[in-house]
Amino acid sequence: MAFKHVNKGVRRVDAYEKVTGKAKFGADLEFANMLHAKVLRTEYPHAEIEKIETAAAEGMPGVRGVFTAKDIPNNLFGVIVQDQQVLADKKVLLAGDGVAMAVAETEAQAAAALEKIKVEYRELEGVFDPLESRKEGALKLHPEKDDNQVIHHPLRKGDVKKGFAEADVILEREYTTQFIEHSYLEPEAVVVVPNEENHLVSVYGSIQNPYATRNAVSAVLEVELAEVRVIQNHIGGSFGGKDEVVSAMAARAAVMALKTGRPVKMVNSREESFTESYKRHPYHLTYKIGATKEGKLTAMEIAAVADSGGYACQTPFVTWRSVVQATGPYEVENVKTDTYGYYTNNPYTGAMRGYGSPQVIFAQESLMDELAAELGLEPVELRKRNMYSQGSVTASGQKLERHTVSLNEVMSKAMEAIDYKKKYEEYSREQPGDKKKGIGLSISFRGCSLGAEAIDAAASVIQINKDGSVAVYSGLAENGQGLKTIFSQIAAEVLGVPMSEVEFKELDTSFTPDSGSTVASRATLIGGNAIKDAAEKLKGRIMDFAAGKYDFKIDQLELKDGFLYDGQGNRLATFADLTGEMGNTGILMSAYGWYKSPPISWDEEKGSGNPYFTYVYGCQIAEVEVDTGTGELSVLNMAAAHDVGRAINPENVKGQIYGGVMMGLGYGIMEELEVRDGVIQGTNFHDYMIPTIKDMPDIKPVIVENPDPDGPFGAKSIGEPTLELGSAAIANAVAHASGRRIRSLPLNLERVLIGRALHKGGK
Amino acid sequence: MVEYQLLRAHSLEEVLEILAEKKKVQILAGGTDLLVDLHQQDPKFENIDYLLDITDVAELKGIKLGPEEGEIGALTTHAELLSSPEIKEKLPFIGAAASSIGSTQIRNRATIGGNLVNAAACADSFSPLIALGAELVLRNKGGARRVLLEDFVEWPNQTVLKDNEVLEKIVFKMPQGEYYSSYQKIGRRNAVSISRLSLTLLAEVENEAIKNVQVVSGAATPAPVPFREVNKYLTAKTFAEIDPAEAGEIAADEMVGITGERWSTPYKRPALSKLVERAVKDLLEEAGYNG
Ligand SMILES: Cc1cc2nc3c(=O)[nH]c(=O)nc-3n(C[C@H](O)[C@H](O)[C@H](O)COP(=O)(O)OP(=O)(O)OC[C@H]3O[C@@H](n4cnc5c(N)ncnc54)[C@H](O)[C@@H]3O)c2cc1C
Repeated sequence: MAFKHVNKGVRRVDAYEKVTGKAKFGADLEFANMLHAKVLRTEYPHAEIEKIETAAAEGMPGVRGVFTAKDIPNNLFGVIVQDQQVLADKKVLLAGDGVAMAVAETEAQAAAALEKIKVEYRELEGVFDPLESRKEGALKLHPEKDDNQVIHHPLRKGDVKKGFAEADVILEREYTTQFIEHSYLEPEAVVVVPNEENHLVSVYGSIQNPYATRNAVSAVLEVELAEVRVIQNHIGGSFGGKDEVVSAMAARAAVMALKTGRPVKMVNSREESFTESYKRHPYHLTYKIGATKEGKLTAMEIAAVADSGGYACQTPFVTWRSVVQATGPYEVENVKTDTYGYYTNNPYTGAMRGYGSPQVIFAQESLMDELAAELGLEPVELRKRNMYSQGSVTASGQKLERHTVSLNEVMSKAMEAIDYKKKYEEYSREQPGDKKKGIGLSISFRGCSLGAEAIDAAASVIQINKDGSVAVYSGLAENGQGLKTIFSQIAAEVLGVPMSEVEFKELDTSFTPDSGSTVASRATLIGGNAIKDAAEKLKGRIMDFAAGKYDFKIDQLELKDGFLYDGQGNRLATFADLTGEMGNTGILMSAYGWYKSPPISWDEEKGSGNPYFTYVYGCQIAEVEVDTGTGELSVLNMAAAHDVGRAINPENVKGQIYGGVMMGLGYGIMEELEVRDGVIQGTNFHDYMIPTIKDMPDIKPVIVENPDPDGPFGAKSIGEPTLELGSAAIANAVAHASGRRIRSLPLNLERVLIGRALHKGGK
Repeated sequence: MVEYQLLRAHSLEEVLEILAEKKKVQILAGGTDLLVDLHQQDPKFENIDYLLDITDVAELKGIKLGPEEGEIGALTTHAELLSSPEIKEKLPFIGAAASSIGSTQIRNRATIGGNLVNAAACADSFSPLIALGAELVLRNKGGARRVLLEDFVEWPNQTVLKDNEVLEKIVFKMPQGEYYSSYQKIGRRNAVSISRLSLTLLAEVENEAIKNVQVVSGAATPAPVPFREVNKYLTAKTFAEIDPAEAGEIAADEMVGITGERWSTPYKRPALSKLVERAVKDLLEEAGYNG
């Protein structure tokens, strides 16, 4: 099938505004009579609040109000578990919990007011390690709960005892991962306007998930959803990070906007963002794996313990994705997996690109290389003997048959792109000098979209104006990933109009139907189908009308390039004239699109079922140079092959691959948010290292296309798969180069040179 | 809130005039240290009434390398150092240190004088200049004095520069005869990276033997200092007598002798030892010794 707009690297529809600086981000928004607010955050990871004195702050110049938890109608919110405080009431659970807020004529006045607020705390002992938190008798952090467990997901398949008995080789290994900051370019920002256009509050700003934020604000204010309006347009990066933290910010600003009757703006500094935002979960992983001499896996037993920090946030779902994917893309008859989340007094943890997969993939793909070495097999060979192929059955018992299982294809294409075989052989030989090269790979399967987390559906609205211009609205939000462009391409493709006729409109929760959150790499797959649905409905109406008007059969007619053709290459009408005439005839030229995912199933007790309706497959390979004299590690080249079903915009897919590989590299070799006794050490990019352009390897993106029967034009997912594979590939390459196996992230100077991390103040 | 007046001088004379006349003046060069402190409302600004921008003062700029002596103006940027053909040819280790600093944007603004006066423990300009035996010319209205760079820093971020003085230039004797050098830096990433360890080696050689040598630590010690024991070990040895690995061990012992066992020692000891070993090996190799 030849496409006109889809499967082409068309220019981003929001590129012009962004490169010319015209795009307005949260912090750029201004409203008449606007106030500014700041939040006072605690430095204690665990303490009772005995007293808060605000009178002095209230008397400061320009101050229009100082508020505490008692001013919040309903102080608890949360997407899954409602345990997160808008402002800490009786207790602070993490260093960074807001305890009071001040609103003033200027930001500086609000900040000055905070300094006059007096809070008396009674410090409590804290729990800072999930392995401590899970122990019997551990200090309970949420008194209303039985213990500190946020969640436990079990998965049982076959009989691991029997499986290990059949094994010739059994390995048991422990791996750990670190806290990670999202590091979005734009810190959080919101403006809440009261009583605008029949809404109690309108929320503008840097919002990843407008409907989740609307839910939170309406729950906190105890008002109906219809009274809360959330409008999102440009966002300076999110990566899963602008959900709960921004919802809390919006709820706070909404309370203040209603109390003062004026718009209230809140913008975090980088330091405030580091202090308050949620992080990627650190995991403690134990893996036991059994295999025969021939390299056939017989059993896997896995326990993964995630640090949830002070709140549950997304831990229940993050660890659920981990339980589904913990074995990796391998056929194993006997599996026992348990994933857990525990409360601690650390920063809370939530959604971040990858969502429970980067941690388990680091462990499990490192383990595969360790096992291969133990068995005397090459890493590729061991994988080939066990990995999923068409019709394989997963750990949860799902037969992979509805889509193409392309592991072999992604792996061989990635290997070809980086000349793996030759390099593997070369670097396996003795290398002179301190600088050693190595090459390592990792592969994954990943469930697309939400799976059994929640109902998985999305909406769109397309409106054709009388001049033929097409306005497209979606219930899913641009997060910088290119959604506006992808959706515009799909609409243009179906309606046969040039891209220039398609206008993607900003998301407004009062107008577009609730489509859930823009998460789980679901936008193109679920939202794209919804756009396609609306466009096809309209196309159907146009073709019916045209067939009647020109007396053709529908299948003789074609909409292309903004014209109606008769199938012989003759133009019958322009799209604008035709649709304008339809509008004047009284035909509805707007349509709602809706898409609900195919059925899935999950038995939470056994961990079995069909948790996702389709999967994507990826392989990344890293070529590194390790300086065994100094511990310096350079990632020289990376290949990343990803099956995306169909690339709606191949350039955009490459962009996702470059970005994801770099984020995965940062995760693998340098990023680490150091948290000591619950307190973040260093709250800006001076201390928190992310890779620079000079750390960027040569990245070879390989787009693999096996159209999915359920995807729009066959498209699936790309955003998250790109990030989850790098750390294991790099760790494997480092082991290949230096012989040193590192089981904790990141692979920093100290770990590479002496095998362990060193911490300031440590011994 | 920090409040100050911004003054701008257009000649060295004007700088000295202002420093003599006014109290609580802080000099502003590239601003890459100062403005960061200002942004963080560093308490030191309570004692500052004026920022004196000296970036227009031509007398403080420029690189002059003569046959015997050399000088670098305090306002010379790291970008100018690394792109100077003269530096590249005669003092490549200074260019190497400059190129390892910050990023392109930082190097375009940041000056060598600012790096020295700010005197961070990890500042990258010290070790190459100490290896040269450089002196600083500190000037006030009454005249100038010279201070050996080694004696300039009292402790991190505290120098002997007086309130009424400006750092005018850095002066040094050019290495003579056959000489070799090496600059090495370890950071956590390839740019915008604070030195974990750095090192300069500069050696004059004659007849397959070391005549003069300076091995100087960068971030290995609280203030950059020559490794005297290593220098002693290497000086007057013939190439054949030198064991690079031993030189490395001596340096590592010397470092730990200065810093004591710290949290970072288990890493820094083997890594520094390796850097010194490499610097010595490079020297022998470049000198054509293949023992
Ligand atoms: C992102 C970033 C990365 C960096 N990376 C590095 C790095 O890799 N290595 C490194 O060593 N440094 C690094 N720095 C620190 C800084 O860039 C250097 O120390 C730089 O050389 C300072 O020079 P400046 O001209 O900007 O000094 P300024 O900030 O203008 O001044 C610094 C101090 O010196 C004083 N001063 C300046 N010139 C004179 C003078 N002529 N006479 C008397 N006093 C004077 C000022 O009053 C002030 O106290 C980095 C800084 C940043 C922001």
